[in-house]
Amino acid sequence: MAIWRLVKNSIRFAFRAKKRWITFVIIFALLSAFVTLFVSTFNGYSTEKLMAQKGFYIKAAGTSENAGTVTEQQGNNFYEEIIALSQVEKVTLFRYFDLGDSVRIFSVEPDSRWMLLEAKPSKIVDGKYITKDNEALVSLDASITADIGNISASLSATLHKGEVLSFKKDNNELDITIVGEIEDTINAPGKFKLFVSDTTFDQIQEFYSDNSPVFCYSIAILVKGDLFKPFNHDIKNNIETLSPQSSIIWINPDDPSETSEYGVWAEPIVPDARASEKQRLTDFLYFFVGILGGMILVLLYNALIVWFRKREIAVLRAMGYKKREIRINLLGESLTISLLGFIIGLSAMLIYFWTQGLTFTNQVITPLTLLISFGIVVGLSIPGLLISSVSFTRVNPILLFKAR
Amino acid sequence: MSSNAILKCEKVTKIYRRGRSESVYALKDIDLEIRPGEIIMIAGPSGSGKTTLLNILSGLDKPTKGKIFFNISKASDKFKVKGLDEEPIKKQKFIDITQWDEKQLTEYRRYNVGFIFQAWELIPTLKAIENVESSLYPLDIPIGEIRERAKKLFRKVQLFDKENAFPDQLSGGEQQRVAICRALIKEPKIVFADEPTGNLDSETGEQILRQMKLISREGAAVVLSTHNLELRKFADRVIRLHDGQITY
Repeated sequence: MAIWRLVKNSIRFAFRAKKRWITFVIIFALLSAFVTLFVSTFNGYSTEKLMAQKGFYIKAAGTSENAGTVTEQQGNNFYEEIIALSQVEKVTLFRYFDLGDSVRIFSVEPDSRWMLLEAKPSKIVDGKYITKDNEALVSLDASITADIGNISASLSATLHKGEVLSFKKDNNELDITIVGEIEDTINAPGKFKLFVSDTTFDQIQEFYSDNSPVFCYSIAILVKGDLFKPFNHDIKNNIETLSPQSSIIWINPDDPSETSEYGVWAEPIVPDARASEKQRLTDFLYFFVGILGGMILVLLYNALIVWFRKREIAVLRAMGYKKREIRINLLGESLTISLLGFIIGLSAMLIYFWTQGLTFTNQVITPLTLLISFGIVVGLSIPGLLISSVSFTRVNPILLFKAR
Repeated sequence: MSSNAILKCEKVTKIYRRGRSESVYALKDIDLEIRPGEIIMIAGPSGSGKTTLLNILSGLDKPTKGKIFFNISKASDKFKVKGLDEEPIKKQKFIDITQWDEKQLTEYRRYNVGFIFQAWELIPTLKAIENVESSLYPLDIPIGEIRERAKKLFRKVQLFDKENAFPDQLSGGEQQRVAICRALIKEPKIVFADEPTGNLDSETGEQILRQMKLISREGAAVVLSTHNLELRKFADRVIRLHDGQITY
């Protein structure tokens, strides 16, 4: 009961503070943001860079007019072999087929939206990524100009976000809503590109099963391993093991002995393992700088809080407060300020990145990262104040008898 | 030793060292007896030792020589239960507080002593009533009772409708009355007031002293220091200090 009253009192100390306490909230908010950056929560391991850290990407050769040298069956064979490897966490196969001369339809996975580099969320110019079946992304400002038989755009020749594309055959009808427009970087000039989920892709393809062979556009491989573990080389080792540069035959697309089975694959985009390692070391250095800077600031703040509250400490000591009770009072205030700063700083960062259109996976904001950031900004207040306790035990209530 | 005294000091001397060899006597051989319900005014010019004497009597400082006896039989009941750990001590009537360590002196102040300072020393982030209640926050007293006691004191010192005001919204006289309430809420046996009227105009100062007179009638001894001898009409006894010695 008494302890709760002291805690409540300390929160009053914090919230009814003058400008300097607001200043400290801002300082802690900035600290939270920087520490979080230092531990590379956002900038180092954003989903946009996840492929460069944990995976690589293999494209089918000939993505222009003579595209489609890798058939769906060949792609599936490749998929099956890769997914069976112990180093692999996830494999995603991206397929496509041409509908007439002017339309190319791609399959993408809403759950692995970042794995197809040409259709990742940051390429979206307007709207959002598909989240379910019967939704589609379209290439920006692409128009359906050719004779495409039984496909009709609902409102205009150029499809935009919010419009509905209807596929009709016999008595069947499939309506697909355009949810976003995407920057077109796929080398297939003059073609209108449509990106849909695997299920919708299969449904559309079924409409045209007689004359629309399916090809594999690319394959993305994600290796196993935790992102933020400075001394853990799992990712690096797994990438090296799986790298097409190595001697492992089943992922060497250029090996002639495999072409009959897998088709011809273009030169893969391979993450630079050495660069990746260097980045990790830099991040680790930042991590230490973050921890060190955070520790110094938190300890400094707790020393300052004792200095700022010198007369209040003297009053409490004169009234007969025990050292433990004064410590609770100061710790409550310190924790309130740092916690408030932590919440504001982290929220501000999340909002900022959200407004910038950056997306995250669950792997980015890990509990460990949050724990580290929280530990530095808020948790360190406890040892910080215990160290500063030495200062307040020196505060002598006699100073109250002297005029201000 | 008078059995009626609550606090008694014998040959209390306080020496400050200046440099390596020079000794300054802040207090010299002070003998003093404080009885419940009386107002003792310690008067003297600046540097006469008034504040040093208050510091020592209140347990904030220790004398270089001499003894200060506290009458346990007149101590707060809670102090008898919680503040005195050892049974042999509990059985004594007078105990020399100069032998106590910091922890015991904290207990002594916690239950028996109230302070009123010249600069009031209210906590700026707490409302007036919270400043008063804060004296009792660490004690196991229900918050309802604490609030009731505080409100009663506010009425007694005529601080109507000022409970929720912050210190900087109060006049000097009002702040001093809040400080008085804060000193009294724990029902201390002795109240030490250091120049309580020093920052107030004469009329407000006299009002404050009248309220202190009321406090003493309820049984608490009041020891106040001042350099203004015109206020002696409010005191039961006046002790004049000069160069650390009582001159009467």
